Amino acid sequence: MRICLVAHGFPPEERTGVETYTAALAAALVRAGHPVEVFSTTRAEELGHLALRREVRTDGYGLTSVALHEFPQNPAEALDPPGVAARFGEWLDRERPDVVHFQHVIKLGLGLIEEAHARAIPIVYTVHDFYPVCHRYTLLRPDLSICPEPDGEDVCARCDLGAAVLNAVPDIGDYQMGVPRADLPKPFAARLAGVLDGDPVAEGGFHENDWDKAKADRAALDARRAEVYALVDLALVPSRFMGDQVARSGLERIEYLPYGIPSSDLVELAERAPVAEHGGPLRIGYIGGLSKHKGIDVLLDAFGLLMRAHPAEATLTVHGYSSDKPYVQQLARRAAEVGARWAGPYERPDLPEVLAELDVVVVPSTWYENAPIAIREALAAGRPVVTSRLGALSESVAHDRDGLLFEPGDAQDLAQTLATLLDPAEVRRLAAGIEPVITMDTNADSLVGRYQALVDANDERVVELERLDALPASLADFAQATSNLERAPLRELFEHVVGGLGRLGRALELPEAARRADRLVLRAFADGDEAQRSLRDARHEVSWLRRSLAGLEESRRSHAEYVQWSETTLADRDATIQSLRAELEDARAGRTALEERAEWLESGAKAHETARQALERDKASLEEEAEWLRGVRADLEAERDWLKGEVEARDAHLGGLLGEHQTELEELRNARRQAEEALADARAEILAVQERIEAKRAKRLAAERAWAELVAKLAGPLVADSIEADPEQEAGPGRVAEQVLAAQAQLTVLLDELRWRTAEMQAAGHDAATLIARHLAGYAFRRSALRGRIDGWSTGRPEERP
Amino acid sequence: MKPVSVVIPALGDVPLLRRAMKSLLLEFELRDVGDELVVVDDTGTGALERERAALIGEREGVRLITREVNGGFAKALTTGIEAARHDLVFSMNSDVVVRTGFLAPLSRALADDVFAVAPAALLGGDAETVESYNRARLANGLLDVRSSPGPAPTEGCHPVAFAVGGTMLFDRRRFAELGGFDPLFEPFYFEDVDLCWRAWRAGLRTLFCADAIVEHHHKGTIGRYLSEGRRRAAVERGELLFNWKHLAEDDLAEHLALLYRRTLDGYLTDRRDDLVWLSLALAKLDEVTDRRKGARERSTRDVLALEDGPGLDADRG
Repeated sequence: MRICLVAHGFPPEERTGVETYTAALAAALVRAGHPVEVFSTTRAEELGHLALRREVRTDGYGLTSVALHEFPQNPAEALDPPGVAARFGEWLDRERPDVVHFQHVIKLGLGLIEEAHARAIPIVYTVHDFYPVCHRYTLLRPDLSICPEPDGEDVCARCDLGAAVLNAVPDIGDYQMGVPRADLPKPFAARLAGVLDGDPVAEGGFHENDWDKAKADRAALDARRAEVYALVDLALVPSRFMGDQVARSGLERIEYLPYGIPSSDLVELAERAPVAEHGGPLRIGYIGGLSKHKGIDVLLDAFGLLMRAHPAEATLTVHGYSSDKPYVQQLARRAAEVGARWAGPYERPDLPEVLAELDVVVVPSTWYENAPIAIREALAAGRPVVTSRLGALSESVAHDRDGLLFEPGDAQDLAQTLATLLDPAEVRRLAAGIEPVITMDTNADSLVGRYQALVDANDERVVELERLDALPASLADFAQATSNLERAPLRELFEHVVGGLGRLGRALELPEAARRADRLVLRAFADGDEAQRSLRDARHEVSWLRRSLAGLEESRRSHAEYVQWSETTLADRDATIQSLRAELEDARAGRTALEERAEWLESGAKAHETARQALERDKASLEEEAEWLRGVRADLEAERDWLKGEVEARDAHLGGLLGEHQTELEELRNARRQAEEALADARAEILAVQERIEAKRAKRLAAERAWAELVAKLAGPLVADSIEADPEQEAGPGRVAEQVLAAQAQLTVLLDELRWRTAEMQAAGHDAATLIARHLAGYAFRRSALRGRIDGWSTGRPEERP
Repeated sequence: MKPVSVVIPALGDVPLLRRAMKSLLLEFELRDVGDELVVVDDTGTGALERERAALIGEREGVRLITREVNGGFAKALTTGIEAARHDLVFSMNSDVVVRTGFLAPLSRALADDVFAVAPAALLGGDAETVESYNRARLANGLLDVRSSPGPAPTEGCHPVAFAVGGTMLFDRRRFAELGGFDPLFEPFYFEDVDLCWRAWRAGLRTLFCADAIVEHHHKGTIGRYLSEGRRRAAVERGELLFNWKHLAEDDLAEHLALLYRRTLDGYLTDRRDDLVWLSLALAKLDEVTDRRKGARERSTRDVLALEDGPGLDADRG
């Protein structure tokens, strides 16, 4: 029966319980006569991611390791690491095991179970921890407290967010398993408490969307896990406690099967070096992993208490390994403080020597555990075990028969419990109560029986699936033969074919060289040959390298784009800087201008203030002036009123005068008109007279000349008197002339008088009006000037002084 | 015109068989020379016997022969050939539908130096995809005699490497002289190739006759029992056995080198199928060695040279 074992790690790279158990089981199954192939993981740096390497271990089983270098990016990838299941599928196609026994699928992924199921290979799954029901596989929360309600709704989503909280805490070492709240900075401890026990949104600081997403994601992942575990044909639990816990996992057929261990060397030790017979102090020891949930700190504290109470009556040696270096260093320091010996890692072949130096082994785990190999090893070596009264541990140690139980995490109780063993007789009593442990060979036999039952059932299923029993007789043999070949390991098939080709060469009577080709080929491709492994994996590695190269190329492109973007951004920023500089310069210039303006404004303000003050002064003076003007105005108004009165009086007087003079004037005018008429008449008369006169003058001139001559002769004055003395007696031309001349003279006198009086009246009226107008114009001018200044003050505008 | 016995080995698909019979009986009726149909029930369960009334009734010239044990195509065909009343036998699959007038050109082409004549077998009835114009090719140490459906001559008769057992006319006396189907190839595939190749090596040709037309609908019953992968395995195994049986000595070394190369490639690239096919063939190594010792006539290289010669004029038939 070809048996495949699957484990997430394998010695020597990984050396904790599951890995060492798997190695021991593989060896035991080989001893039982079954070909065994182990599928596991490696971190070998020389291999490409997902490359497979097969080696043949000295115990006779093959070990194929898939190289894992890329780590899950999210919980979904943690459950199903990309690509691993496909590689396992290829490997299954090559190896064609009759049964696959999964020890663990963490790091490998649930998809491996599906791959086996898809190939109709019976699946056995040993439940080494709580992975089928807890993605953290320990039922420990991120603060290392035990999950209070594994069935609780959303309890797993709380752990996811809790882990996210731890992700943010700096310098806490390996926190994958969890970190006690006490070791966290207070804000983180409070947030973690809020996430795990309170309201993840209000107290945990997560957004409601994150919380909803965490719940939905975890529900989906839990559903997938249950779906895949339902494909397992047989689940084996090494403790009944584990069986109870994983009953709700989706695993349908669960059987209890205790672990076996390779124990012959340990049994030999029990006989060779019985405990507590050396006469020295009690030799307490710890063997196993040094993870945080193993409770080594409790043991160290307990040992410190024990030493205080019973100095020098006991020793403590801690053997073990952990990748959590900060925690290991912390433990080592604490060990030094309490006087314990820190022995460090050990190899399985060294275990008898390790146990030979111990009287009692303490397993102080603070998690439920399952069926610790360390307890079985100690018991096999005849060493009583002191362990926590927790979970499955009490199934491994029978209290007061082959060991003692103490309250988990209680250093005081552990110290008191250990104190009871300071009496060598008590240790020997417990050692005597130890029953033989189940050996790995026994365990393997139990498993083989179960495998065989599954394989037989599966063969029937294959026959049914391929309808081999329903085939026409002529096809049955061919179909069966083909089916058998299809189910053979590729390596066997290859060897079979190469051997057959050798026979073919001989049958065809080919030359010796051709006939020997089979031996040459088999030798060249011998099992475990490095060249063959390299050739086989080369294409995968090339594929991986191509993917990596593509990834790098993508990364390079991305970086190039980033660089280009950066350059563009830098150029933009340079331009922005230039622009900002220009703006800065502008701003500086603006500031200078503003400062200047401020200065100007300040000086302007000062000037305005001065102007204001001046204006105030002007205002005061103007107000004074206004007051004065008002006085003047009043005076003027008074004067005006007086003048008005005067004018009115004058007007009245003038009116009177005018009336008088008008009448007189009218009369005069009439007179004048009459006179003028008379004058006209007179002039006409005169003209007529003048004509006559002229005529007479001529006569008179003649007469005058005669007269003159006479007068000249008699005397001239006598002539003149005689004319005036009798003007009417003698109404001759002389008399008329004399009357006209007299009227003209009189009229001239009247006209002169009229003119005088008119001028006199006009002068009187003109002088008064002129004076009033001058006063009014002066008043209006001042008022206008004053109004302008007042307006200037009210608008704040410097006002040009008129 | 000589009468023909048509033999149909059947695995029980009655509707398929009825369709094949219908076309065939029409041809018989048109020819009216006393042709006969022999249906061989190879179910091993007498399934067709129970359908006798519905299948055959009172039709003349139709017989049902029941094998007690399923023996596969070759054995069932042999049973039918042995039971045939005429020398000319047309072997036919139950998923073949003949077109009227197909027998006459075949009969005419079956000259004295011709072992078998194949009609143009149209794959699914498609005239562009003829699966019976089969040529052989020797390359890289492998004699490739696989059927490769494709275009074929549309008139006249032409030499081919082999005729498919599901559609070929031959003289059963020649069939007997050649020793019939080689059980080496059981349960199926390549027995017809081997038979025709043996005929070539014995100086008898196989011809493709374009004027005779049948349709092959590939709904045969083997597919109901075996997966595509298993049928492919039978083809590959058959080809290997055929090569080991017939390859000329000069080509054996290169052939063996090819097999080693395939083996290594299959192993290193996880091509399990190559190794399975080789294993299936190697399981028959002793038998094939015996056959090879007995086949000392014309070599395969001679046959290939002949096959490349001029085709047979249809009129010669």
